[in-house]
Amino acid sequence: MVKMLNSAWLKNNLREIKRTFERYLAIVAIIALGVGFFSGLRITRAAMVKSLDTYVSDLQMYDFRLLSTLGLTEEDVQYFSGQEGITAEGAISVDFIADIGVEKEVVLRAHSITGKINRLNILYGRMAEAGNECVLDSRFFSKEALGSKIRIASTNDEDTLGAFAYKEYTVVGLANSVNYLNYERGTTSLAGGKVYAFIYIPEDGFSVDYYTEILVRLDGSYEVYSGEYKDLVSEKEEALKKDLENRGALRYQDIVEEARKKVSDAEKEYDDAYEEYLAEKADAEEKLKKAFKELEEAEQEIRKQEEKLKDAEKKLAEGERDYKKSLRDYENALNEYETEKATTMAELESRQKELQQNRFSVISAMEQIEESGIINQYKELTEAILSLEAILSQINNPDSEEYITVQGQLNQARKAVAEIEATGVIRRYEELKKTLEQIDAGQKELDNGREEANRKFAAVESQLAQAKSRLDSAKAQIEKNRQDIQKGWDALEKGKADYEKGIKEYENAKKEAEKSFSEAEEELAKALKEINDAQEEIEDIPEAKVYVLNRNQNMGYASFESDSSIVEGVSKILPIFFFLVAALVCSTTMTRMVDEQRTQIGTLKALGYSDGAIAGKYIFYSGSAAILGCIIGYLLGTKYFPFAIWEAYNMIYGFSSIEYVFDVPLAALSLMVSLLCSAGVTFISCKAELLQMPAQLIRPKAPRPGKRVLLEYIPVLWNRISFLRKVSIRNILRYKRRFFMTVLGIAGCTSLVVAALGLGDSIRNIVNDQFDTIMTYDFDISFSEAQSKDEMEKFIRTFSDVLSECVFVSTGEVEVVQNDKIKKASVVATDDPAITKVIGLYLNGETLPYPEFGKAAINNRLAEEIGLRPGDTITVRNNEYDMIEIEISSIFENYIGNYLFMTGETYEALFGEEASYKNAYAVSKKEDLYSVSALLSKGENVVTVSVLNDLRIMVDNMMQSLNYIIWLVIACAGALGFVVIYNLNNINITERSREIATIKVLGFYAGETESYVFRETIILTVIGSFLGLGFGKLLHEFVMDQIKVEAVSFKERIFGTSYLIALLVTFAITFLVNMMLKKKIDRINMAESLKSVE
Amino acid sequence: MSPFVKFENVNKIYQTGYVKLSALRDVSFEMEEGEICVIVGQSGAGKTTLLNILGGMDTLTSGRVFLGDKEISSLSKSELTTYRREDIGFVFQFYNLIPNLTALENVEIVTQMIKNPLPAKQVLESVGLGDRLHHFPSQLSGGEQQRVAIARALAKRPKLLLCDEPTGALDYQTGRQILKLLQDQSRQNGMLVVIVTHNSALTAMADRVIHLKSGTVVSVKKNDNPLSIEEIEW
Repeated sequence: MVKMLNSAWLKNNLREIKRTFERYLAIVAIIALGVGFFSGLRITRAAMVKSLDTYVSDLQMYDFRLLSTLGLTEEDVQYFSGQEGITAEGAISVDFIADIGVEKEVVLRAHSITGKINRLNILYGRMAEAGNECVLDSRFFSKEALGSKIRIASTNDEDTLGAFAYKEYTVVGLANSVNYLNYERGTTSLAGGKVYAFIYIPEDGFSVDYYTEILVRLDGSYEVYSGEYKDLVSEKEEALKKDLENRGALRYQDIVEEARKKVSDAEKEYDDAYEEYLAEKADAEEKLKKAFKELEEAEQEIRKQEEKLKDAEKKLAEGERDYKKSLRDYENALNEYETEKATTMAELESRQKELQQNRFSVISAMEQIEESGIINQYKELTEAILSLEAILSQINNPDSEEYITVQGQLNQARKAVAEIEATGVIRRYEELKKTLEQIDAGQKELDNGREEANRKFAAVESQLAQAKSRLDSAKAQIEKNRQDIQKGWDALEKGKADYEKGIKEYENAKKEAEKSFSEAEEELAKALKEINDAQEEIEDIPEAKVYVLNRNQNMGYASFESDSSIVEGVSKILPIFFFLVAALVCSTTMTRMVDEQRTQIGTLKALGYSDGAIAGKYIFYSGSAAILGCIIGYLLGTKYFPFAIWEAYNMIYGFSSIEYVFDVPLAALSLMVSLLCSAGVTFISCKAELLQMPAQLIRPKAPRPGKRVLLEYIPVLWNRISFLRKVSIRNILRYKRRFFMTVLGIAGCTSLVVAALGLGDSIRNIVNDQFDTIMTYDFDISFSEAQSKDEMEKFIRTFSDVLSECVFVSTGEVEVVQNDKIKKASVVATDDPAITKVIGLYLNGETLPYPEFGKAAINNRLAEEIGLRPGDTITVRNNEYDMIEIEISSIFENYIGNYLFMTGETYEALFGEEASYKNAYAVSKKEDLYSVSALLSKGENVVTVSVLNDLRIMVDNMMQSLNYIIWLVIACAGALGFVVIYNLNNINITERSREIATIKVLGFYAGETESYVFRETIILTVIGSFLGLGFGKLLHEFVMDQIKVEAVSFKERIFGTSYLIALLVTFAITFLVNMMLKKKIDRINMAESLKSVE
Repeated sequence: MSPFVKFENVNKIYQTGYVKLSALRDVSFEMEEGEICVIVGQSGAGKTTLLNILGGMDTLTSGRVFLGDKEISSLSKSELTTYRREDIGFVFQFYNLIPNLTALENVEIVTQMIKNPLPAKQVLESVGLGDRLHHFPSQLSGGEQQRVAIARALAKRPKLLLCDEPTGALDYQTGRQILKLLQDQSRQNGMLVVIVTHNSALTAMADRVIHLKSGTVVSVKKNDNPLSIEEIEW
């Protein structure tokens, strides 16, 4: 073996490779294809699972969710987290209607942010910290949502409103949640039945005092879906369930006790209230009695007063009579007095007059005297005498001149006076004066008399006035008395009125009191009843129903497993086929090579090389090609297959990018299989030649004998075939291995293309079938509230000119629970028989009747998955707890989504609530769906109008992602076809170069020569590709069977065009190869034919 | 009467890289219709090259070659094919039968190509293979295979029958039978038969012998008294 590795040996081998590079490349290519396909498909599941595993362990996805119908407490959490090997965390989730700033309100599921389990993968923004911040679902919201506010809509019920600590939450981040691996967000009992997206809020953002669930994570890391993990989960599940049941029982006791306490509190309260009622009643009755007595007293008083007043009136009348008499007396006295006064006065007056006349005459006489001035002179003189005498008396010296003068003057005066006195005037005047004095005396007398009279009169007057004033005061008194009596009457009247009012008030009060007593009694009775009810209710408090859910009940997790297994299912059959072809390619190539080189082999043997060394050359040749092909195939396959398939699933999952894995056993297996297919096959197929004796080898190998083919025994056919064709036919059948290689390869190429295109057909056509034959309506109109019969009729009338059909339906989301599987389905209920005009219920082309009362029709995909048939019972739930069983009437074809159809009556009977007709399926009369939709959206109560065409476009787009896989498979198919056909032709040409040279010499034109060679390929292509069509159909069936996409069912169908394209692709490859090898034929030298056989 | 085949100063130089190899040098000769012409020489003397040129399988570097009034040296590739197809019959050293066709079919493959062939069955009968029509080459002996090859050549009524060492792979006795057959055909049909061989004993049966050596014609001898095969021993 040392020899084997020397440089000459190696050089020889490398030269051999270089010389026959095309062949070498063919082996490399076919092995690369086989390995690529095998490892690529095999690794895809591992890569997908690893991607998920990394994601799940990064975000610490829960292993269990513990739910209880009675809620869970902090103590429960502590109880579980205290267990060994477990991390537990309480979490809250609440569904609510959210106002997200667009016209449509949506249902969001709010979760509390948990730190240890189910962490969030923040894609944009940051984690919510404050209670009024939130992190939003990144799948359904874009970056623009950051900073906006999510409001808890006021349309939520009170419980929901009460569960939130704030009215609105600011979006601070967008995240993926490991709880939601795919686009499915779950169902809800709220409007619409479907959760639109999730929202994570810090625990502070909730105001509930219990947890809705406990998330549990087991310590240790086991790969998702692995057997160890499943074992661990099923092992732990029982224990957890038992614990949870215990906790649930405790919780039940707590709740019952609390309720009991509440009831006894209420009882006490009732008793207190009853006593209080009694006390109040007595009090009120007492008060009423008192009031009644008071009223009676008041009545007596009134009577007394009346009496009094009557007396007073009598007295008053007497007083008045007295007064009138007195008045008359007084008036008489007054008249008397006045007459007397008048006579007296008149007498006095006449005397006065007399006196005045006398006075007048005296005074006039005196005035005459006075006017003469004598008096004055006299007076002056007398005065002067007096003053002179005074002066004289003072002058002591009577001899003095002065004295003498004064004396003289005095004398003179005295003389003058004597003269005047002599005239008598003065006397007379004196007399007059005396008379006057007499008059004055008379006057005085008169005046006294008058005064006397006056005094007398005044006395009378004052007596009269007194009388008068007495009368007046009597009158005033009478008046006053009269008024007082009047007042008395008035007061009495008022008193009476007050009394009346009092009576009335009393009666009212009495009535009211009676009423309030009866009310109070009623209330008390009610309270008593409530207490009794509450007591009964305590008996009725349901014991806690608990649920331990593991990841398999998580829609995303469960469907990921089945989705990832699809590829594995496909990987079971396709690679075998590739490897088979690879083995055949290797075998034919190497056999040919050994045949070509038999002389050389013989020579080498003759020279003393060992069998091993010689065989080693060929094993090295094919083995090195296989290793090279294996490496290339493995690297490309394990990268692009997972990539393409992940891309296709990205639209469903897309939580992270694919993780590539290097699987050592798989790589080793790939290498082993490749070596087996190459070196192994080489050894087996060349063993005979390699072990022959040199002498035999040096001699030319007897050409393979010509043989008759079966066809020749049917002369009718055989004789019609031209010779060249006969040659081809015989050639084809001469080398069976080559025939199988080529036919298999070509059939493989065709069938792969058929299957791949068929995949597209089956998937794309469901869109057409779904929307052309099943959902034949154009619009799904949803209303803000359930529509009454009148409202429905009105709506239909209003739009009768644009809608040809309009069927009102009640729709809801349920989960179908059967055999550990959960499937989402929509329940559609209506009593309108026209439903069959907008939704086609068919099975295998036969129209099915709409289910009768008590039954439901379900779609085929759902039936298949849960393994039910008509007549069986399907179990669904529309919330976490209630299970509803429905008999299946029929199964219909449907491709997208799962549906249960039933009548409205059935719905009401089964779900215990009236079907609420909030949706309508309508068919347009007009071409322009969107203008009709715009018109409809203005209809009364219409919330949204979705045009089905949009859905169709969306689904169409979804399906586009599968094109990745389709193109990858077609490319592989093409490569396979190319390698096989090229290899066949290459071998044929080199092997038959002599024959080709001969026919060239015989005068075959270039075209004839080529067709002589290629006819074989073409015949094989025809055989192979037609076989491939059949295989393709089978393969397609197999692949379709493996492909399971949640809620989508595919109809196995391959269009004629796909078959045609597959044929065209195969023929194009053959044509391409022929074009490439034409030159090789041209290059064959005719002189070759003259040479000896090697 | 002008000669049937005429070579005029034919040169053939093979060039591989910088090495020029002169296979034929200034070769000139003539052949008459109905003759048996033997071209004889050692290995590497240029016999096969000459045959290739005459048979339209190879082109020449300079000079002219005529067959009848046809100048072969001026024919295009496709005209050469037609020439091979219609005018030439080949008999190879290793028979070059198509292994997948019966004796009859190996003849018919040729008769199907041309306009006025001899009936295949008749030709095979004429070469003495009337009872082996439906045998595959592998079921026939070497001599029988060569007869089939001759029948294939004759069936198209060639103007010229070219035989490249027709007895080279055969034993003595069988070789003689084959040569006899060729001689008979020439004599009966008046067809020019050219036999290329290194065996100079065969020159005795020829009407004309062309001796080649190192790419040149050493001599062209006309044999006025050719012997029949029975008379020749080697």
